[in-house]
Amino acid sequence: MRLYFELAKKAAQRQLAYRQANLAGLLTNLFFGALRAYVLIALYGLRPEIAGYTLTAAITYTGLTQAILRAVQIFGWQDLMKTVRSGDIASDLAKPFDYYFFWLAQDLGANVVHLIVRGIPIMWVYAVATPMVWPSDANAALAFAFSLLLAMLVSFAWRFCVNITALWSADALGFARLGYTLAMFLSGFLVPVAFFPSWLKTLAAWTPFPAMIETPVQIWLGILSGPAVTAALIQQAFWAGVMMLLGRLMLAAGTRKLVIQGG
Amino acid sequence: MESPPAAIRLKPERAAYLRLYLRLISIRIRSQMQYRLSFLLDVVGNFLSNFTDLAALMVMFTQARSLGGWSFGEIAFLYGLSSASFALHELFQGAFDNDVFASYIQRGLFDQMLIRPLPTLFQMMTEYFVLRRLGRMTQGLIALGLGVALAQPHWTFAKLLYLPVVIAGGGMFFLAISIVGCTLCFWTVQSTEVVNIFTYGGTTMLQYPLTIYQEWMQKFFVYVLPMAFINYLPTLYFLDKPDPFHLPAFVPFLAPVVCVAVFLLSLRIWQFGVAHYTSTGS
Amino acid sequence: MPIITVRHLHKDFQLFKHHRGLLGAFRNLFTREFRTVNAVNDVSFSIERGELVGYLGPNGAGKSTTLKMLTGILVPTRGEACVNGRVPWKERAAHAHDIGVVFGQRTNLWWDLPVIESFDLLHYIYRVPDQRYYQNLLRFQDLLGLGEFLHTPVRSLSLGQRMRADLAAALLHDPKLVFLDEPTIGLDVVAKERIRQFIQSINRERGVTVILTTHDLGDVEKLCERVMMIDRGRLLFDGPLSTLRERFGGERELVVDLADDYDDVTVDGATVVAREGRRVTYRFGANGLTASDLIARLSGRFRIGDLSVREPEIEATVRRIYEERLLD
Repeated sequence: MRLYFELAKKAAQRQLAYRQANLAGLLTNLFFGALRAYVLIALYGLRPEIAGYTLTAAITYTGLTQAILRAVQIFGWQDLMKTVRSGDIASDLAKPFDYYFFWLAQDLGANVVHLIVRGIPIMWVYAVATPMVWPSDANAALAFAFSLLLAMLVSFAWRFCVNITALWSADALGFARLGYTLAMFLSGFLVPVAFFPSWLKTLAAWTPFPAMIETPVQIWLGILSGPAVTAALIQQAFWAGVMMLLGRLMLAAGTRKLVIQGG
Repeated sequence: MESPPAAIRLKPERAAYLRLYLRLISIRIRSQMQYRLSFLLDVVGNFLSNFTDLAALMVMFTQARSLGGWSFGEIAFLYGLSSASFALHELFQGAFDNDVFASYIQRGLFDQMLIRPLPTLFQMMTEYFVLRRLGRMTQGLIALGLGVALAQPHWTFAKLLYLPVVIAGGGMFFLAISIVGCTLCFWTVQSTEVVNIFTYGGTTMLQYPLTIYQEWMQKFFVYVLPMAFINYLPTLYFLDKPDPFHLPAFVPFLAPVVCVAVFLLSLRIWQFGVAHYTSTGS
Repeated sequence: MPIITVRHLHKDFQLFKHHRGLLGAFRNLFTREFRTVNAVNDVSFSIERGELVGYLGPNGAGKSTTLKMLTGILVPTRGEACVNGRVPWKERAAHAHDIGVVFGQRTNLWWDLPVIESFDLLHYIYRVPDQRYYQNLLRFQDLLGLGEFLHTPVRSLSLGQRMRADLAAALLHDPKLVFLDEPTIGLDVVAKERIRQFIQSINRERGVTVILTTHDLGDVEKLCERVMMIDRGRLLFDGPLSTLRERFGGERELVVDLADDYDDVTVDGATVVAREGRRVTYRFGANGLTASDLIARLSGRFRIGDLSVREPEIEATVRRIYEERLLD
């Protein structure tokens, strides 16, 4: 257990060192957040609310999504796939720790840094620049924190599954890009899932993607409240569990294949 | 035998350049098409990832009839213009991509270009060509087609002629941004990600009517960094929409002039960057 | 009219003190503390057509910097140079057309393309007439043994193969002048010999002027009649190799692994300094005997399994020359 904590810490330190990239990323986030806010303002026009979101909630949504997008890595991640291509995976698998948790620990470590280095400044700028919707009480805030953690787990589990397919297919990168694009859209990152036409909403509900962005955001904004929050958290946990199990199964199968074929 | 006059001597040079350009590009294409499935995946993937912006737009319009006073078709047209321009720029972008160029400098590949008897600009455009860029072109044209079909502008002969001119101009403008962004790499040696705010941020911003943004932003993108000439101002002409800036009537037709001027300026900046690089060494 | 004229060439580099961290990045914007490095300091020389000149010096002496200025990819701080009738950095592309360049550490070929495709592209880029291109290609293929890897992508080549390909590439367009920057670095003895032979043949048979930077004295010995020595930016020596050899007059060692057991391993012109079974170390050179001559003598008398030459440290040589103040 201690080992994984150390791995997470190392990953966090590494991420902190990319100062220029962190700053550039932050500026990019702020820019796009502002852009999305303007678009939503124009969309709302004189209307007080759309699909349960007030304009203030919608603007908060643009800030929130930018704040957590990097922590949830919604654009995807290819690092594991690269170790398959380079062959490093073989030596990683031989190491005396759980391969799955090895990656999970590092992922969480780095992403926590993103939450702090980007998330907090973004929310601060938004708080200064525009009226915002905040979590209604301590319970909601706690639920949000928990939901965010689950979102990060779901995201990791999803990315792990996508990456591990590289053990079977040389074109994994191409499929991954497609997958990430789909995930990004259905997570509610570009437009809230709540805005989707009902058939698309149903489609999204059958995927783990809304659990990565839509759920925590809705908890924060209070769109989900009371028992609905608990239900949503359980749903997230379900997805996290399912995807992690799937990932571990794929890893086991892939490792067997590697050992037999020699990579 | 006396040598032919300069004008005639120059022609074979230009033809040779074109042939060389085509040859260099075709080599890149050939080596990528070897991996047919990957290539197909890349193109489709690229198409889809660009389609998400349009999809998001469609979703938004299930909730409202207009955005900032513009209908879905009108915004699709705006979006299509900017998309097609950006895609066109990508076809000629070559190595003028921040990440690509930064790695070139670090690996000494730019020095390799300096050793060859060709202008650096030419080499930059032929050195790197990824087929997946074709995906964005397809998507851009589809978006534009959609916009034309839905917005139903009143076509005149002049408008039909002007449309490709505007797209070409927009392509030059985006190319200018990419070139300047890469020139910065001569000083920082690393990739300057902030430039992405202008390239990708710029395209995203241009997808919507300029009037939805803050006043100072509008003024900035009309008078300072005139990206409004890429699609917004010409669209006012194409779709016969009133001009909120109350500019003189000929302004939408300035688009090619502005774009060419910006492009030429970016070339000067590039040359300045190269001169700096060759004086300070690597 | 010399093919290269260099007069009072200077190149100073300003190395900025880089402050670390984010705060440091701000400091970098305001205070520009730097120190000036004289990479090339008042260098003058001229080279005639057909010469094969060695440009020696330890690492960081200024060899590559001089070369970069003469090939047109670096602009000097002060001074003039005239190569092939042009100022290299003022007419970069035109100048590049008339010269050949090989950088030892980097290739001039396209990394992901097969060698032959790189050659093909170069033949178009340099506008080589087809006939001449094929002639040269066949000739170089022969001389350098390119046939075995002509269709291999450059990234899969060994160092020796890549160097041979680069050499061929540099000469495909019949330049009158070639710059070779450390062409034998990192290569084994056999590969080095092959490349040296090639360089010699193009110089002798085609009259190509060759400027060769190296810090391998074996290259110099085999190829150069004239040698220029540079250290810390200053030209210390410019003259015939024989003069240099007289001055440094040092000895070198040859370590030989004989293929058989011999009782008497002595040889004329060299002294046996060590013997361990079949491994014999000879010291030679004080009397002017070259490594190649000694090897020839030894192979005439014994069957040789393997051998290596221990070169003298060029730093020591340079120091000695500097102390004796050899200036031309």
